[in-house]
Amino acid sequence: MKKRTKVLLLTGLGLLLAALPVFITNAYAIIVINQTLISIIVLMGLNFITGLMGQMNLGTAGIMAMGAYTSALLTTKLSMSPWVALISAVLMGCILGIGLGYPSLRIKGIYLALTTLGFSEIIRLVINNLVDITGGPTGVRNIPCFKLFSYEIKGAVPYYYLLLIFVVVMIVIALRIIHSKWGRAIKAIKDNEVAVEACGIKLSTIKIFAFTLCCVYGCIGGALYGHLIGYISPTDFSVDTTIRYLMMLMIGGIGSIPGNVIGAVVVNVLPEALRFLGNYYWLIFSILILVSSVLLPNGLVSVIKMIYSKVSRFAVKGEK
Amino acid sequence: MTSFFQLLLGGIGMGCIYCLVAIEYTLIWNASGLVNFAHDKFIMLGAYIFAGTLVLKLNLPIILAVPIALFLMAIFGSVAAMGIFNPLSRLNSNIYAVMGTIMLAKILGEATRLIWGPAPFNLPSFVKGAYKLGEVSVSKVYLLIMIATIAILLIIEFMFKKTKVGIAMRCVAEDKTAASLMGVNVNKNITFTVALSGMICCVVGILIIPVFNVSLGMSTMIGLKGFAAGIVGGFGSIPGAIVGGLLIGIVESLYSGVGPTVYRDVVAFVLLIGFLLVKPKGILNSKASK
Amino acid sequence: MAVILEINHLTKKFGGLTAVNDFSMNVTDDNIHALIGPNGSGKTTTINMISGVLEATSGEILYKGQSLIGKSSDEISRMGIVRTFQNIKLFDSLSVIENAMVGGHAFTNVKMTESLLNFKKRAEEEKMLREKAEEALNYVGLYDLRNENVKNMPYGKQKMLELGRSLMSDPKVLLLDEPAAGLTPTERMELMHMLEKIFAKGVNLFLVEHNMDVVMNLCHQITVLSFGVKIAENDPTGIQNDPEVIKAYLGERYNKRA
Repeated sequence: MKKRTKVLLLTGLGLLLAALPVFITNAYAIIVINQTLISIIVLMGLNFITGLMGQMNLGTAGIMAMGAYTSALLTTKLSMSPWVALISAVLMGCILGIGLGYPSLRIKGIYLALTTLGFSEIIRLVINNLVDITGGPTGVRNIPCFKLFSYEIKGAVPYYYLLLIFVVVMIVIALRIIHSKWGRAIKAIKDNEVAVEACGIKLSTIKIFAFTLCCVYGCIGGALYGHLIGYISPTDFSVDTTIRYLMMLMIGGIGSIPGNVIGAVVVNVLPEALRFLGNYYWLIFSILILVSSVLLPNGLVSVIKMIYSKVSRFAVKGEK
Repeated sequence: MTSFFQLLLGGIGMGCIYCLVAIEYTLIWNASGLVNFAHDKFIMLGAYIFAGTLVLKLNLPIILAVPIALFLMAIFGSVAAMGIFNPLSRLNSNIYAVMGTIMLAKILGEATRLIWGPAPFNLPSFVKGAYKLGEVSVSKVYLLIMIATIAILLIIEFMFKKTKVGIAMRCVAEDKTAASLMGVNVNKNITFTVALSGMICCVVGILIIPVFNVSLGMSTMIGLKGFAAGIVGGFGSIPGAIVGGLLIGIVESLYSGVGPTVYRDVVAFVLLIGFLLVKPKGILNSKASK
Repeated sequence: MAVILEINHLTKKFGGLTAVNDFSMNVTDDNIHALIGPNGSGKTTTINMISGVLEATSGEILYKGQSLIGKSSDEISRMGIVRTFQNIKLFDSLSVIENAMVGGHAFTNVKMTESLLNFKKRAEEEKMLREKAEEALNYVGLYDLRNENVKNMPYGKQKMLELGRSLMSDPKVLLLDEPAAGLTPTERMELMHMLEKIFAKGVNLFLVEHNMDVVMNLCHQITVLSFGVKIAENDPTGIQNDPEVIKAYLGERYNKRA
């Protein structure tokens, strides 16, 4: 019974998402939705480290930048296929993950937060100043779009479907990892590192694995972002970007994939819905998040769970 | 040789600023266990209150504007402490604590943009020019920065050694539970510390106006490099903050004499990551290794 | 009897303080061995060195002839020497059974890529791990609580869960750091029965303990440490009659009772 409702719900959601461009004909709205989808991918990566493993990572912008620039430069300078470039971005993610994972074996908490922040700033400064290769502050222009045989996945709606497939696949992978023995080990690290080691688990393997996941997700997100907008510059990857992702993580609820999706939707779509606030938008939004971080430390997902459990309890009572 | 001294002097000048930044957030860290990621916005706010409102709008003389700005920042600091830092320091997840101060930074940035507008501006005749010392020229700003830094260090030293509040602050930094058992009001202590930190931020903000102008991003780099200074010197220790700040200022300045200037800003972060990997406790072996 | 754990001239210094000084001891197979001593005599430090949490300043620790010095605590755990902690270290965000399953993680062998692609193999392994965890929980009497939140359990049950988790890796030697600390008398009795049951299964027990009831009734061999130095080693009766030990630790009262 419960499984059937779940399947029905998921099919309904799938159909709704597939038919979305039919209802929403505004091209700008589709672009916002595309950005939301990319955010979901990056956010799930951050969720592995900060959400599940409980390690502070303030390097999201730097990770995304590496993915975006890897893919953008390979396609524009060496005219590689975007697919090959995407795979290179994944490789870049693996390298970054190992590079960031090693420091995390020795340093934690606020130290790790500052290291990743420093890493992110170094990446941005280097990209900004290596004018010959990266174009410096002017960025990289005319990043080509993906091609499927001879069909160009160009324009907001076709790209929407491509991203949707990516997001679904990445969500499935993330869920499978979270619900595996590795997911358990990652969560266990958040609770108690010494006990994880006492269980015979090699801490470094799990930590580097989680960081690699984070960086691969981040790099894929960055690369897809470049191909979506067609233009990237260092200002896209400043500390503000990192903060936006942390906001998403907090709003949705730390450590939960549905929470990630909710967080990404709220932070990306809400500004458009609250346009009437104009200049005051970010101010009001930040205050809301600050207040909710004190009052609602488990994110929106906890509210939904609470309502759900109340409703289902009510339903059970009604049946009786 | 002349240029070496010139660079060294500039380095010490900037180093003093990093010292003050590192001290300002170390105080809060010691009192509450929170890293104030909003500290660069505190600095910016101090500069805007001083330059934007008191000097340019109200045309107050600088002698009068400085104490008023300090006073306003102290009030702002205590309000922020009571409304934000106290509740955050009681949360058990450090992720939320970090996020809380980051959100505070965002709020301050937005509020400043809305109140004073996004355009950068300057105080035209505020500490300009330089003294000549043989071949070496000493700009007045750096001289003022050094004097102010020494004065603040002396005041803090006096406070820590001789006053009741200062001794209480040292106790809390050592062990919060023990301090509260001994009758120190930890919450009050946080409020006082953030107010003090706000005043130091205000001083930093005023001092860097001639160097960076008044703009929304004026203090971002200084804030980040201040963090680097704290780590390099030894996190959570005031002497560490001083050593780390001066080291970063001097190395950065000397580097600009030999390497390409565009990478000047990278130096501090390379030092930061290098120290974290090789000697995470910093030069002065801080005990805050959490 | 074969020596299973051999400690030779073990020394640990913290700065100027010598916590354990030139300590030698043999733990024989098929044995319940206790390490006792007054507060601050270096017992927990010794357990931490055996389990690889602390690095010894000098000396050697041999397990079945293999040196444990320089090995990380996860390696030592995989060799079959598993420990519990003085202040229970559980994973609060996981359920009871998941806690036990983490204990079996190191002995599973499905690789990451396999786990993502081979649904069947992964499900089989997960099922195997779950069944093993259920068995372990059943053993320590927590089967009915398997889906409970760890934080909601009483202290005694949490201790049992930690024991259950350590059994997941089929240890040869179980290092118990003050297992009876903080337990009510009833819980302490349960613990002693449990430890006897585990010992009967063929697991060697090595415990650091303050509670004399547990030590005297449960253990076969006792080593006494005082200020980091070994002062006696004997069976419970021998220890109770050892004048050196009485002077250092047990006090006059126990002397009369013996």
